[in-house]
Amino acid sequence: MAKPGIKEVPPTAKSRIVVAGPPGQLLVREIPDEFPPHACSSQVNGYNLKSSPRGQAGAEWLGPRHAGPRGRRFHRFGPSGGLTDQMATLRQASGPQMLRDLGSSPRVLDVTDLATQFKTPDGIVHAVNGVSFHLDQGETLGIVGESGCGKSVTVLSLLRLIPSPPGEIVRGRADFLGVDLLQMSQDEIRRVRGAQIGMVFQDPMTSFNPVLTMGRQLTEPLEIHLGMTKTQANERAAELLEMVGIANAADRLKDYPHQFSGGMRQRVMIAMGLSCTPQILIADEPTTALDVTIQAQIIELIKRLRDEIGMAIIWITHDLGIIAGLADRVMVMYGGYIIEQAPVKELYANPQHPYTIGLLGSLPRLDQQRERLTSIEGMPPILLEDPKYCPFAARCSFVQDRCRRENPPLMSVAPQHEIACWVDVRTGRLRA
Amino acid sequence: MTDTAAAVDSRTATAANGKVLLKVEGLVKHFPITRGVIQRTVGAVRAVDGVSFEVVTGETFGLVGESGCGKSTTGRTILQLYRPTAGHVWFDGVDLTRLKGNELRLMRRHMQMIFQDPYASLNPRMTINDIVGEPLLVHDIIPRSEIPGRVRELLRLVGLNPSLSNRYPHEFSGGQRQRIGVARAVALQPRLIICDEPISALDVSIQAQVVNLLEDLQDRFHLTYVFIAHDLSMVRHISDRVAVMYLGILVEMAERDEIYLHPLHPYTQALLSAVPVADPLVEEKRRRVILEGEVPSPINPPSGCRFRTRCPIAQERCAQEVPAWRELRPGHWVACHYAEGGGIM
Repeated sequence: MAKPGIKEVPPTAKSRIVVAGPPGQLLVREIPDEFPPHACSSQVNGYNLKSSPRGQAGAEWLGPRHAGPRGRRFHRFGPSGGLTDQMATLRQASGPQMLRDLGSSPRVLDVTDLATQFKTPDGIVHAVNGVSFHLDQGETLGIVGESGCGKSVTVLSLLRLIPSPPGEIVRGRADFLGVDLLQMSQDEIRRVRGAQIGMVFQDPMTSFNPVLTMGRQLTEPLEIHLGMTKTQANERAAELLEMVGIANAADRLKDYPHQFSGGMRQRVMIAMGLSCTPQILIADEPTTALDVTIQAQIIELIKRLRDEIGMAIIWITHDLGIIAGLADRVMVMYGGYIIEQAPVKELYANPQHPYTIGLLGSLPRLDQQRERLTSIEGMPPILLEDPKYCPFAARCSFVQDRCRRENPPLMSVAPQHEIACWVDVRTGRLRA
Repeated sequence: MTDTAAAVDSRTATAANGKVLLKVEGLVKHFPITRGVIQRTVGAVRAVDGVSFEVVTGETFGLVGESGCGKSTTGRTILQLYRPTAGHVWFDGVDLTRLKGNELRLMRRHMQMIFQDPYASLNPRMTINDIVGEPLLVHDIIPRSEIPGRVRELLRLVGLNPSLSNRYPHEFSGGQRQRIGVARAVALQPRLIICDEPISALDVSIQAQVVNLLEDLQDRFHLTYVFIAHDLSMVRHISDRVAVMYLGILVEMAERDEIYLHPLHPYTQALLSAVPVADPLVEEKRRRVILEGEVPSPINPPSGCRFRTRCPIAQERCAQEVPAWRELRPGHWVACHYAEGGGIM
């Protein structure tokens, strides 16, 4: 059971269980051997803690509905608690304490000036060039952009999943509940991944290990992050599969990934991403490989789970259609920069950046007929230098001299609506 | 065109729509499932199971459906890339299913295909010159010495710089590769092009470029397209008529606006409601029908109506009786017992 770098409670540890929070305090429970089973039953954060007939400490998940308003989680780190100072702060900050401190919509994630580069034989590719954004509790943030615009690299950088070399996070801060993800040790970031920040990847066909059963792949994070025993993890895994709408869940755990269809695999992936009830779920084009009917099922599922669990979501996509019905706020990326961000209704009603306008125009609409699609000529750039010009200038139909000389910063054009463009598209002239 | 009698027969114009270029009649394609050392046939994947439609010269005929519904197989069987198990494909009055060898090869220059995956459909060891020039070489329609010039012309036509013609496919982006695929398809000046999901592997802004290119070429050369796609909004944009496929059969077919504004089959209605619209205000008000489950296996399709296992309004009758393919309104065909009831919307 012991995984390198992770302190595990041996399966026979019968006496202690460490639970993070209620509000900002660690709760350590001593459970003596001779303790009568019923006496140590107590409900914490949605878990029913009790001892098994053999007197073994255990935790039973009662489902997200029991998990309090925001679905606080259950943590268990080795006998010593296994917490560094940093992690302890993080734990404390994640409690409802934080809710009180910051008012109704506290920041879960605050990214400042994040930049990631890749060293390639052709030179240094500037994949992400100083992006700053934030994510509030329970909020759904859509990141929209074409391939190579840096949207996936941004979130992979947050989770420190950029292969290095060739990749390197060159600067920036990413405060997750007050702790900088980019400064964490490997050990610490590993506890965040999967447990506090869940991830759903694009390709359900290649993201699973084909030689392990789905059950094994689902129970692994439960055992590692939540310290469940095999039996508990199996039960919980079956519940998770049921939660995402897979029939005969207990039997399907024994199946291998190839025995699931694409839509089913994506459901399992979502179950896995949510298995430790994370604060943030990062969904990287989770429906791109799926049919529309299955896509609708998955979106509906995520919406339902969002309401039940209350996690914040970062949804990466190139499909402006999906985001329209799902996100609260949208961030459009191009060439490794955020070029426009706004609340979802504002963005669609009043797009201001020529690229966003072009993207919306290039989309055929089911509910109306267009004579001709607006196409954005040319292709997205691969930036081998930090551009001193607007990265979209080469494809932009509003381009002015200044755009070729100076890279526009994000400027506010309306409340919460920012764009990086020198030109006012309504007049076609430079902004005053 | 040898088969003159049939030619006259199938050239009967459909109501004010002009000449029928392609007529598919009861097309069936089953892939046998074999087992054991002697390859005993134990069943069949009924990929296409009785599909009939006509395509008029100059129109774009959209074929939509979920993965595994048989739309790509239909496209390939039309071109005789797969030999049909049963049924006929009339192209300009000639029954392609009866042609073989050289006769078929002579017909092929009039029918081309654009493939879905621009990464897999171009030979990585051939230069763009060779790829686009190959059909000209194979069909031997212009002298060899003129091929390089024609290739440059074709590349310019699809919006690529002809000076890049000595490069290999890997040096191009997805959108550019798809343009190369388009150039290869139009090289022989065909009359019919089967576009098998030509844009689904491309980025949004590039999709619009390729679709606009296809539309321009259609206007210029009076091409006829069969446009296979799962993206219903793109099909609405490009098609004149649309057919919806489910599990090897057509369930509904009509003029574009008719099918999008008044879908009659519950499956079409569910499909349309599942497509996201890029407008949060519209999205808020839309009613969505979420279909349960997935497309059943085409090895053993459900009895009666094939959609009944996922249909929200299925009745007893749907399990017993195969719904007739009937013309409920002029030009609007549907296969559902309860299509008059307004379906599920």
